[in-house]
Amino acid sequence: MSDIVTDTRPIIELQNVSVGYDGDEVLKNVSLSLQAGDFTFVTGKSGAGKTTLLSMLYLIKKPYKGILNVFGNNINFSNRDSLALMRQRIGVVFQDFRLLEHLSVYDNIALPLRVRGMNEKEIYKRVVELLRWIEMHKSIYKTCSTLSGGEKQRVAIARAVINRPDILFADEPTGSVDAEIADKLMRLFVELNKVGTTIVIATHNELLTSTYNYQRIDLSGGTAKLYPALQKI
Amino acid sequence: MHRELMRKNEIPTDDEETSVFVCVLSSIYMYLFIIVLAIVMAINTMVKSWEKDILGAITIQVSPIEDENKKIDVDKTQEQLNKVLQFMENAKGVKSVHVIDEKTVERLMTPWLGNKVDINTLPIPQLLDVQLKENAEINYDEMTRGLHKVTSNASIDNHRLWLNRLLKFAGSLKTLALSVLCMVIGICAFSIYYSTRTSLGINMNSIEILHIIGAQDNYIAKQYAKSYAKIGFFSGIIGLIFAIPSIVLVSKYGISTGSGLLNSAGLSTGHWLLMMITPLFSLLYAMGTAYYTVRKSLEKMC
Repeated sequence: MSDIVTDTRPIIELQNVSVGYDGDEVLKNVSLSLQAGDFTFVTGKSGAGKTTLLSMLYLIKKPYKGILNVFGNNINFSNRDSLALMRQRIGVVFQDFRLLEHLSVYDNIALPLRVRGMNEKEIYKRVVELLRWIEMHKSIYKTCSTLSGGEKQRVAIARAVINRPDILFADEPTGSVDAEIADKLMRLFVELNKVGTTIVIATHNELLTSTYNYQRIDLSGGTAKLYPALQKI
Repeated sequence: MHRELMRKNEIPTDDEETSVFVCVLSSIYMYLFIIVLAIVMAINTMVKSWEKDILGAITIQVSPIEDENKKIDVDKTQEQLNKVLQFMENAKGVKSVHVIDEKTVERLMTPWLGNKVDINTLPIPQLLDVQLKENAEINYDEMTRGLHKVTSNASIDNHRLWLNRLLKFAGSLKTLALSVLCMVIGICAFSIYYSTRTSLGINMNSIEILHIIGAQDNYIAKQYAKSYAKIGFFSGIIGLIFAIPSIVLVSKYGISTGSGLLNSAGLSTGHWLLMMITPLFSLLYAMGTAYYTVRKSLEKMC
């Protein structure tokens, strides 16, 4: 008999959660849970609440009501500092990249490590390694405002994965890139998922969800429904 | 190390116009702060000097004795003076007694009587300058009674009455200066508070990104504190550069007026050193205010 006790609690759990903007509920009484290592698409039409759901899951937005557990912590009872510590275990990729444009490529990617208080020598090692992987080591000290859309996308992804997050959220990651880069990006997410990272991607790209057979949360009319991945015959 | 030094602030507060505005404003405040601080210190020195010099001495006035023809009886007057001198030399708490010579009395009287009057013909009292021992507790009533036993023509002027008025005036001046000092510090805090709030609004996007990647409020507040520490230090230096010539000029003017009272209002080396470290105070003050403002604002914002 094994002595190892595995934590079977979901990595994310929502119980009757309502969330929205300025008092208007975009999502009402949503209940669902995601296990560690899951790969999940969040789908729905524009305005269905994909970004709202994601911003709540990466702990920037608080639910109006209901219980949201992330990493086993009820965020209603978490203070600002412990929320920040939880966010350090999360990576986020945005459609509009959201880089700090006045900083260099290096400084943008180093940001999550600096926030964690890592020493500069270790940061340099990790950033350079990652820059080689995304083939941008020659642009290390370029300011982000001078980069092309594709380069910014790569920097944004590097920033999201540099601290080896437990969960990676991506909001319409393929929305502003061509099909070839979108495919590369998806293969990267699949690889990250294989090494244990929980991936949650918000998209309205049906081709993407049909090409990659993973579970799907569909948002419609303020409700959320979880569809499991199709069984292979 | 090199990368750490070259590292840009993640929140671009240094490039904002509000920072320049705060720097200019803080420099003016620091200039005023140093000037008022110098005034407060000068008043303190002046008051201490007055207390030491004036309260450490008393003056005895001995009126001359006149004969039947209303003329000064020199022998009797001298005899009376010797008695008073002897009494005062033996009095408790007295360090030394000396008679103020005629030339000095003449010089003191010149502003009122002019040069052409022979003061020997006037019934001007003779003056005795009595220096007291340090921290001596003098019973002036007892001393006056003893002196009256020697002669009824002698009286004591212990300077306390007019000095108390002067001290009250100096105290009011000091209170006024301290109020100005507090006001300058308060206005400076408000300026930093509002410019920090404005900057937080302008940089909301950067702050949200930092929050998303897991930055604690402390991390963001430290960035602002670092930026405002620079502003505070440079404001202090600029304020000091402008304040020192002003203080030196005023000091020189004060001395050149020849007023004995103002002459005692000098600044010591310690005072100058205190003024020299005001940029450090300014740095800490700006840094602390910015840090506190950011922490409080972020708690309310998100």
